[in-house]
Amino acid sequence: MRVAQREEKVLAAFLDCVRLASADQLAGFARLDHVRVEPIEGSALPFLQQMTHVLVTGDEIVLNFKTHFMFDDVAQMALRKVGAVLTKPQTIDFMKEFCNIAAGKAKTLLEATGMTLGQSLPFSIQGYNEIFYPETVRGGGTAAWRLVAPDGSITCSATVKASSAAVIESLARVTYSGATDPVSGEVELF
Amino acid sequence: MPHKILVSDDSEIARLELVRALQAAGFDTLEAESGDQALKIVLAQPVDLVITDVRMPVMTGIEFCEALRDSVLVKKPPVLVVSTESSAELKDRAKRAGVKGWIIKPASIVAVVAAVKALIAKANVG
Repeated sequence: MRVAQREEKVLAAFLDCVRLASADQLAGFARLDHVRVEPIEGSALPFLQQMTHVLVTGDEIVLNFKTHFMFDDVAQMALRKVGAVLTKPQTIDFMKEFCNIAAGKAKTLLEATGMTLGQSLPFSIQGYNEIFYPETVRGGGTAAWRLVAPDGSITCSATVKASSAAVIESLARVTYSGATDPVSGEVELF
Repeated sequence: MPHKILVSDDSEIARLELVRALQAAGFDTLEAESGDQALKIVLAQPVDLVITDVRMPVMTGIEFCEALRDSVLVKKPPVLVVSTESSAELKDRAKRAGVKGWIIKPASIVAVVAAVKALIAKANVG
């Protein structure tokens, strides 16, 4: 296998882990029974008004995790957790917190390979219409997907950029065990 | 008299769910949006336990714990961290700052309330 193909495959596998983890994190965070992941094809890129955003960064890698959504979808999705229809500021807060949790999970997956990383606070941009770049990011990769719950859906995207081929190779060690993942919700009393 | 729990998280939604569950379990609650707000509250009035996030603006949850440890407060409330963070390094720093428990988000509300009860019971025995 050519080096470029190998790197592409490793990056795609890593972004798959992020994608699957984001679905489980949304289910856990919003108290939903099931969240389905749907691919987004390049020809059907979303045009959504709100965005939240978290950066996970280290010396060797940058992961940019974003959510894209409309207020009504999230207000319905949050009903079980909150028990009331969210105001617009609460909806943004809800999605900032989800973005924080999903990016935090991705950070944990990366840290398991020995990387030292930091994570930004989540921030939101109103009225921002995300433009996706389907071209391959040099030294990295990007992916977009839809998370579908019974009462609404949101879109997520992630872009990862590594400083070297060796760092990309280290992403091959990232694994995600899905719903049986033991870390989320773990309680430890000292 | 109900025990008083301070919930410190920059996310209103995260606080809302915790506060509702704690009140349903019979606790009184206070809220803070950052570590520095939390510190002002615990220095100003008696609090039986603090639940804190880690990543917050102005002062993080860990910095709050270190400031609490180094404060003149005689009876320091136990602190339970509820965060997406899970690194051993951060947990060690938290333990050195006196943190008594750590729960990784997204956490079961039942588990958080159970941990709060366990830590309060332990603090009252000690």
